[in-house]
Amino acid sequence: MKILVIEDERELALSIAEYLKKEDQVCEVAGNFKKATEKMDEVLFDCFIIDIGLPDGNGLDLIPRIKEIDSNAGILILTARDALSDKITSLESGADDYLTKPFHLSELAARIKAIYRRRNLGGNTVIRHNEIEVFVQNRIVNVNGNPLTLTKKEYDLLVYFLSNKEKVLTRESIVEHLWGDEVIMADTFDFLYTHIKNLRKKIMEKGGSDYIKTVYGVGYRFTEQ
Amino acid sequence: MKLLTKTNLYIIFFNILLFITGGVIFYYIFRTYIYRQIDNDMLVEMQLVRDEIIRTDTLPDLAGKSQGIIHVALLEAPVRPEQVFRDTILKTPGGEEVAYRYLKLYGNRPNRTGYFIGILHSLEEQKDFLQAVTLYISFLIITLLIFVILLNYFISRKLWSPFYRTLKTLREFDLTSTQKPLLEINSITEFRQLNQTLDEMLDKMILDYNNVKDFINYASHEIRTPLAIINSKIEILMQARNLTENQMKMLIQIQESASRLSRINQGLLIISKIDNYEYSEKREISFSKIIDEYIERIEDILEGKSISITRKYSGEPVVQMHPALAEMLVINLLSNAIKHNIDNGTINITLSQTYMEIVNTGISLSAPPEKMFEKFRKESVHNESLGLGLSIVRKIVDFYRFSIRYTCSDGHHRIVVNFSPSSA
Repeated sequence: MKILVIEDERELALSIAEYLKKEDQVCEVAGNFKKATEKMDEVLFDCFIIDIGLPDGNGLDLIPRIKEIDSNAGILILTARDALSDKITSLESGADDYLTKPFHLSELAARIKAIYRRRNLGGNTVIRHNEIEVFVQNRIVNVNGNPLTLTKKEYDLLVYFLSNKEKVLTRESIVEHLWGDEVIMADTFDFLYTHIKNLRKKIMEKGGSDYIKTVYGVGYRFTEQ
Repeated sequence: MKLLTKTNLYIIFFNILLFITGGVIFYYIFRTYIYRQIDNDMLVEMQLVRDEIIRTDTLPDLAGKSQGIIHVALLEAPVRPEQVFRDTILKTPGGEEVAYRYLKLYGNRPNRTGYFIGILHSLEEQKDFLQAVTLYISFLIITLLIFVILLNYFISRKLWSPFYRTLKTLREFDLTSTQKPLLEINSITEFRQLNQTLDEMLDKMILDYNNVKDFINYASHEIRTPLAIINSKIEILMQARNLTENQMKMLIQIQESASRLSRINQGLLIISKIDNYEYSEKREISFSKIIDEYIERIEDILEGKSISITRKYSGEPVVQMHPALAEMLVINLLSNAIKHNIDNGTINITLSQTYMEIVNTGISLSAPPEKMFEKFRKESVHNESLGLGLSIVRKIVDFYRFSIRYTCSDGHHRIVVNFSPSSA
């Protein structure tokens, strides 16, 4: 997957690129409208992360150009504003999703991967992780070929982990992903712990490995092996 | 007390004072003048009689000598000469009392024996006259008083009308509306100055208000990008495998503070945007749907805290709102009801065509209920609560002219949002 990050705040763009970069994932950075169009002409990208407020233009104006080159490219809009009109115009002009600053990189990664799956593979994808298979379209999970019965929250949790493999995920970012940011309170972390415990147990019952590692006092990490 | 009433009272008071003093003084001056007239008449009559006594040394013929009563006596011995005026009352044969002016004169004849002259003039006629004058003056005073009051009332009303117009304009003025009130240019210097000064103050006020609004708006937006950088750097740093547990903890603390900052920022931004009319779009809202969706999202949390929820929908509020604000209203109130609830507690939601009621169990408040909706208020028990949630609720309620009532009794907190307070 090739991703182009179009964001004028260099430090933020670099963080995004560093977080998303992996062996099979290329992530490039463009600091303004002009650079972005130049890069788009050179390389074919699968996904674009676009900041609306660019120094030399509105990020949304890039969308028609992107669609012209590859109508199947995924687009995620970043903005420092969260006016509903912004959200609507972004989605109407062809963007797939919308994130308001500040955001968690893990959330961004989960969203961009969901867009990619939806766009390039028609949503009919299977996320494979060793013995675990997730059929995204009908929300079915198999471990060693045996179906796993998961609650909605457990399923969301698993997909979130699979989108952020080998990354330390803070409890806060997971809670926000699962419940939204309005319910954060002292004991929410206990509920998260319960869900994680159950997910771990269910995977291991079907003969799967224990991939979820606790990072003490911080959160969790989903390991490759 | 109204300005006009106050002026009238002053005018009535001082006019009555003035007229009474004036009336009394006038009465006495008039009376003195009448007495002098009578006294002079009596003196003239007396002189005629006296001259005749001295010339003839006999009792004169008194017929036709006086308008009143006159009697004269010749005395055997000399007397000390004396002339006295006094008021006296005589009884008529019918027993009626009649006021008289009485002049007594004692004198000596050339042969050194004395004489006495007494003259009485009736005062009845003069008294009647004085009475008539008094009545007339009183009538005049009262007429004048009424006239002055009416005149003052109409003049004042006319004079102060620009002032009342200004007052009305100012009372109708709403700082959050974009319309600046127009104050008239008056020909009266003081009112012109008043309106000019007010106009300048209004300009300044509106400018300040807009500046504060813009500042909050700008600051809230501008804070987001640095916050995003901080957050992203922390997340990158966390991925490093060689961090000690202590360093990791510090990173978490930084991140928690950053997200708290971003939530405060978010809250302020919403408030400023409501102030800026950025949520003017209106749609039919299904409150039951918002409530159901939110409860579904946090079902496991409710289960974990053993909070039972009862929902009673007898109708859907008929309101047009911005969907984001409707959602914020519901979510803020509900999450508040969950946050401040107790284990094994309850939440009862009632929805009807006109109101939404949320009753939840919870610990009693330390603060008075009316303070609940102030900015940054938080109950110290829950350190993480932001304190802006309820003031956002208040903003939304005010924005749509709903009303909200909060009461707390027996460990039950009750919040009622009335969607059409005017018709209730």
